[in-house]
Parts: sequence; structure tokens; C-alpha cells
Amino acid sequence: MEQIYILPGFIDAHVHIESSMITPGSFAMASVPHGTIGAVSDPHEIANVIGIEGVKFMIEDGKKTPFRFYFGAPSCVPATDMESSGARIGSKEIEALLDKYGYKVSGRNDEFSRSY
Amino acid sequence: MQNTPIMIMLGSDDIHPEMLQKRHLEKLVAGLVEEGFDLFDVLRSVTINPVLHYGLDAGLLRPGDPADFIVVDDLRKMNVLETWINGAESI
Repeated sequence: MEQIYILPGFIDAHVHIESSMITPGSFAMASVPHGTIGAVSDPHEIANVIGIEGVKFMIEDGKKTPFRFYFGAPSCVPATDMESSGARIGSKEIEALLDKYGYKVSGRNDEFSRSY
Repeated sequence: MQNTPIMIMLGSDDIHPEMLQKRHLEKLVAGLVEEGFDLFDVLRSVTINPVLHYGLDAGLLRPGDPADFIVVDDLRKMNVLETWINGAESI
């Protein structure tokens, strides 16, 4: 008889789903065969492009699967004022995100150091 | 991880699609165990540590937890045979 092991499913503790160039739903589909059952995702990439609407899209798309998505409220949008980015997320937007989705924000996602 | 294993969590940060097709956390876990890190320290970093740190509702095989679990063939190779989320198998 072959031996098998049952383990808790794996959680990706920090991932930018946008870098995978697929939507959250597809990310779920791609990662579950590898034992991933959830991800703590910082959506700052889509937020930098289209702001709150982008974050909302990620959350809503993720909800369509049983995969356990946990999205952070991005703390670095824009990453710097020296680029031309698409959106700004300030304290008002963060408050709106927290209100609408009942987020628990446990800390910063990515923070870029001030080197300029 | 050797000094403070309860403080470590694993994340992909940026994983590109061609990589994600081949592997995700399971091969990272296998690689760390191969490097000599303690199996349970490594497993903790992709299960218990993130769930407790962030207060996530994912299951950890505790009584009463949602049925989130995986079946693997070998604790060194970490080939995932099945993945279950909330009591349903993910196909």
C-alpha cells in the first residue's frame, strides 16, 4: 500500500496576482494543483493602474471561486510621485475599502523606501 | 528560519504564469526541506504562521476547522495528489 500524507493546504502569504498575468479566478485554478488553497494578495499593481475599481475587481473575481483570497488594502499607490501612474489611493479610499469589505488590515503590504 | 521559525511565512511575491504552471509553494517547501530545514518549520511557514498571523479563516486540520487540506505522496518530493477547499475537492 502506498503511503500518503494529509497536510493543511498551503497559503501564499504574499503575492501580487497581477504579476501572474491572469485573473484571480485563473490564479486559483492554476495554483490548486500545487496544493495552494489561499493567498494573501496585495493588489497594488492593479491599483496603480486603475485605482479602487481595480481592487474591487480583484476581490469580486476572487469570490467566484472557493479558493481563499485575502486582499490587502494597498499602501503604496502611487509607489512614487516620480512616475506617471493611473491612480492614487489615499486614506479616504482605504476607508471606503475597509468599510465595504470589512477588511482586517494587519499591517503594510509593500512599502517602498524613500531613497529619492 | 533556523533561529525564529515561528516568524517566517512563505510567499511568491511575483510569480509568472509559466512558472505557476509548473510549480508553486509545494516545490518551495520541498526545496527547503532538501536544503536541510526542519520539515515542520517549513510546513508551519505556509500553513499555521500565515493563518494565525493574519487571522485567516483557512483550515489547519484542527477539530471544527473547514476542510482545507492536501494529500501528498512523499514529504520530500511534495507531489500534490489532491487539494480540498472547504470540504470539496478542487479539480
